[in-house]
Amino acid sequence: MGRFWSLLFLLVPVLGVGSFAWAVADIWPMRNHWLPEDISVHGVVIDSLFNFIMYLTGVIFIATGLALFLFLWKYDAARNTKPVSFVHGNHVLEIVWSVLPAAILLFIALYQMEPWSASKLVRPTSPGGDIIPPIAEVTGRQFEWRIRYAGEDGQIGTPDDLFTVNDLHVPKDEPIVLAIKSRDVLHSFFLPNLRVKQDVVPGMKQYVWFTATKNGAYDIVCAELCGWGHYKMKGRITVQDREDYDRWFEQQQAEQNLTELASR
Amino acid sequence: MSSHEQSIDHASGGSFWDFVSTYVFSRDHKIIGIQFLFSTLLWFVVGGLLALGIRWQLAWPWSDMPVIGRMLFSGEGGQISPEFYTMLFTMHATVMIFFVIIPILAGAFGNFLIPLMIGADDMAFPTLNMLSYWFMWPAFICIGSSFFSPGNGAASGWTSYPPLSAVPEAAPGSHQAQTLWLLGVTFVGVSSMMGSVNYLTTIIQMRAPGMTMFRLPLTIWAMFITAVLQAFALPVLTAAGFMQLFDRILGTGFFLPEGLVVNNSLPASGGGQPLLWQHLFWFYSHPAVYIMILPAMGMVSDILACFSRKPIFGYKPMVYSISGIAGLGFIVWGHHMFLSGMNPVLGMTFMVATMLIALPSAVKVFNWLGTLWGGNIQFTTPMLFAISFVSMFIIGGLSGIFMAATPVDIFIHDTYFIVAHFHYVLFAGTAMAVFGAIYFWFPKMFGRMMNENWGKLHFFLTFIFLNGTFYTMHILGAVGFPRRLADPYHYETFRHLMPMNQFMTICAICMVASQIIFAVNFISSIFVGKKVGRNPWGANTLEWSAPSPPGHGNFDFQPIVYRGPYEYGSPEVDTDFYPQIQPPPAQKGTDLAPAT
Amino acid sequence: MLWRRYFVTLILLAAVGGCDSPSAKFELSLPYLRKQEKDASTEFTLDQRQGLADILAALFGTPDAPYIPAGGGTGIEEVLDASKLRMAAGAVSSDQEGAPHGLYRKHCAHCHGVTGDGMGPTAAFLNPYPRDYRMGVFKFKSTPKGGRPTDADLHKTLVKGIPGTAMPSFRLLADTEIDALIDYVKYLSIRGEVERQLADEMAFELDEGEQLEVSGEFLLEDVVTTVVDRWRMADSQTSQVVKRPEWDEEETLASIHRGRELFYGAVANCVKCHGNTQLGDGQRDDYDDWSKDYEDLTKVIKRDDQKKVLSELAALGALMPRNIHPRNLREGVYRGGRRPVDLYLRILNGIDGSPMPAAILKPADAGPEMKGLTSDDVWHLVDYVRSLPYESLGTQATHDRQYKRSRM
Repeated sequence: MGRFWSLLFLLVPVLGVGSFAWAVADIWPMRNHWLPEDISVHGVVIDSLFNFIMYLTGVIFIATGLALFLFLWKYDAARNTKPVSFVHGNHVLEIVWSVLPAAILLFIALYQMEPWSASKLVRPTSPGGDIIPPIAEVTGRQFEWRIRYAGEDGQIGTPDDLFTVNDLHVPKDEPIVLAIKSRDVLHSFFLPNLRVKQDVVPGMKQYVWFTATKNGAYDIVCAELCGWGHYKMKGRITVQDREDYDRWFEQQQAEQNLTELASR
Repeated sequence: MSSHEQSIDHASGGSFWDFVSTYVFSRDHKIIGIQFLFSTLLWFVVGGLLALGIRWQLAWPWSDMPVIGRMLFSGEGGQISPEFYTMLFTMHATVMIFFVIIPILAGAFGNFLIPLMIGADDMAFPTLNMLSYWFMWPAFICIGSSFFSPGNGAASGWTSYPPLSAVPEAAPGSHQAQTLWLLGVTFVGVSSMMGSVNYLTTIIQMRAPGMTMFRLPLTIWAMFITAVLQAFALPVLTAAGFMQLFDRILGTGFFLPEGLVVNNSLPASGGGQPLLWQHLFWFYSHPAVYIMILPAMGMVSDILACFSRKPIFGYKPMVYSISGIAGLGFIVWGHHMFLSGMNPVLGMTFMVATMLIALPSAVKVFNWLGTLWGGNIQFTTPMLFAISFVSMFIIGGLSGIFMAATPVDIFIHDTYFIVAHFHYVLFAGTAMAVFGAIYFWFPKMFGRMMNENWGKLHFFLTFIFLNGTFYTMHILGAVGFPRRLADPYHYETFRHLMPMNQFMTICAICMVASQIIFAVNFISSIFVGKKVGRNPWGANTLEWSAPSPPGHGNFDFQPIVYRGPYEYGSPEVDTDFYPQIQPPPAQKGTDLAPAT
Repeated sequence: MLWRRYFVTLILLAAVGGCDSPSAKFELSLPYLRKQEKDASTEFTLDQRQGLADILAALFGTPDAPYIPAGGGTGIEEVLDASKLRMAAGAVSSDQEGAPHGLYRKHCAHCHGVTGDGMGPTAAFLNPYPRDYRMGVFKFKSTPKGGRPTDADLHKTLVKGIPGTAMPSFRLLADTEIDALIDYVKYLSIRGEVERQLADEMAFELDEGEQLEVSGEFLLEDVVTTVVDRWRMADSQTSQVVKRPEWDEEETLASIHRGRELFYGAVANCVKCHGNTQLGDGQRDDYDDWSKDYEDLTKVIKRDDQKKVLSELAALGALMPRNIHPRNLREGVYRGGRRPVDLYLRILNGIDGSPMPAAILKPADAGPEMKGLTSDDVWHLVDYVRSLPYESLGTQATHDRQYKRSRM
């Protein structure tokens, strides 16, 4: 039976790595079962860090899984005739397998400080050196995203603002800054395809920033439990060329300022 | 040997109150341990059923949910409501964490094993021990009755973040149910704190002669360090719980900033910070996750050494690792809050500490592998569970590195990647270790063996189906599949993931069904299992030299300890085990005589 | 040992052995029946209630299988489309081509209820309550009080949601799905109105215990046609909106000033409800028509009587009545839409189902002695209301508060 159990435990690294490989290879039935399309500038770094960690942990996973299998196979009491190795440990080994992982972990820790800083600490600046102001303020509320664009005056909070619900448009290839806040409880502003996520905290105004590199419509997801309608807080972010964006903006402004009944 | 307990033999023919005081309000640590065991196993069933509700909704959203649909939502054709789903995952986690894992490790096994393994006749404070069990019952009643309040139970997640939890209008479960939840968790905290005081005192003060700290089995080391964690971390949770309770009931504003408009009500609030709760909560709950794994690690070490028939590899490094995990465990809580609005600079500091805490866990894994190497492995049921702990913990531990990396956490926070990680460490890890521990120490508790064949079948089925259920969660998490969504398929990005979820649900149903084998085995073996003597496994630690089951006072002789707990395969004796209480063979020139 | 094996098998069988699914059912409006019983001083027997339910089922079908009342002359085909109803009705599923079904139950039923009664499982936790369609009254539309909303009105509500409430925007659904839901809402509303008419008939026209007549003529011609006609006429009843004149900046300022005068004036008398500082803190103890429909609590003076009424209603499953509060105009949250034309319609037509009254319109050239508002006056009020959130007067919950912490 020991052989059977050993093989069962061998299945763990085999199927574990195999299923990930299957998903990464995008083969049926695991189509689109891996990282969603990344259309952001900083997302590349995040994805490559993810992959690096995956390969690293994959190597360790395979190595330890194989070691486990080998020991179970070889030292099965039913078949093993050798006496046990009556050792209590090995000092050198302990040092090696303490220092080596520590070094690797510290390396990863230091390596990722820059991407984190770029995503969360250093706000993008314009070529002139000024901090880029937010183009819109996104307020999470049970259960929708209320978006308020700065109007022509560039200020959010004035009568020429544009209001939309769940419908965020941004121009492509420009650094976009959004101010995010909450009206009631915690929510989280998650743009899967842009690798952006930040909890919106009542009583706190925060900023997220990104540069989108491809046109299209993508999901906005709420990623912090906010009540029964948490799943309903679906929004859509539409990335479009600057001219299309401007045209959309004007259209919305006109619709918002409608002073007569439109025909459907 | 203590004589303050009524001997079990004199209870026969005694009155009803004698029975009650002997078996119900017992102050014997073994009875209390078994009481914890039975209670937690029952709650395990409840928690598992709640999980099946979650899995059903994720596989066949808005369809008629078995049992629940008919009972509660017949008007809607059995389709659950969204707030019901929020209750399901809140209560699943609450029950599993506070009523299953923590009490079964500390309350059941800690209680049962500590005096036995250190050679004491009972705990230092038997009455306090009894109270620590009975303080769980108000918690059971509070949270049990919360299922019947409006909203069917607390619904703000087991993490209970305000303002969602603190403002009654914010969620259906934030009315009465949330208050009951807070009270329930407080009672659990009090029970745990009582227990930890007991364990610390007992381990430090009541060890048998010869039982130095570095001759303690790793189970005891783990229980000891866990008790330290409980003692220092729990007061913070209790305080936070009261602060939230006061915010809800007394109108204080610890966690509520001004200007909230919740469900069109303007809660009386101001001056508070939601992040404060998160800091206080995670300051406890991060050590809590180590509370939920260290005892399991300790027990796995004992079982692995026993069935490899050789000493644990690197005993002292193992002890230092346990201490390292616990110590570092106090400075990593912010890794639950990288994206919470906390200063991102703190994110960096917590990240470094979190990376470092992977190290002692890695050291332990290597030492377990070292224990298996060169051994003589007996594939008994407890051993299978112990080996699977190692295998599964590798997965759980490695997946933790992803989320420790803050830029990656930007993407995988609050996705199923996190869910995969903690289910691997808590279920595939701790729960498997708990099963192994039950099979292993069952003979000591009840004097009978559980059936080995059914045990192996239980292991096999559970192992297969748990991996089917939880491994694919990593893949879902890589897609960004969010947690806690009643209908994730609402989103274009996740719409195509239903088949995988259906696969996982079927695995989950099979996994839960496989536990029936365990339940039948466990219950029937108590009555008709094969009777055994003191040491059916050929193990070294002290409990195996007591009778099975031990009577009041545990040992029918004075235990004296001569060596460490892992002298399996020692060349000094002919047998492949060498119990701690067995005196060394008489040597020339000494007058050491064999024990009578 | 054998018995253990049998035991396990038994448990597995019991677990697998299926039970059939409960099917969703339309509920009778029990509070309304109670009201009719009280007003007509009668009591409906169980048979009568069952008879009513049977007639409605014969006419309109079930939540899983809806019918459009058959028989000519009602004109209902102009209002409802059977294929759209089938798409919206039933349990959540998708058919062979991947087209979704059960849209109403997926998106709407947990708040609005399977019967469209605004009493779904989530409803009790919401403020304000979800709409009960069965009176045929809808708040935000382009038709005057008493009229039904047009398809365009319902479309706007679904697409834009109702800001400040739990009604979300469904803009991200496909157009076909939105159209299906619009039809289903109308279906539920028509069914509800027919139920009310039949209940009135039972209360006032029939003898005690007498069963409702199932004759086609009465039902289809008198009852269903009456109800459907109102829906058919909605489009033609759309209010005329006189476009706002193109005022420049100075004229707009003057308009705002004039609006303020009208706001405080005796004709519009907005301050009575909306308050002297426009915070919605004027008269706040009235109820909306849905609450009053079961029992007008403003007429129940004694506290003990109120408690009795409330417990009776609660026993029948009704949601506890809440006072309706006039809007806080300084918040900048406009439930019916924030476009100037939306605000114009609110002032012109009032808000059906609420105490917000319609304006009395007078021609532009009428003198001051004639009571009422000209269309320009209404635009002045609209301009004033739109300026309020930006007035630096109040510190109540407006859009940009003093935040304790800002991040960079």
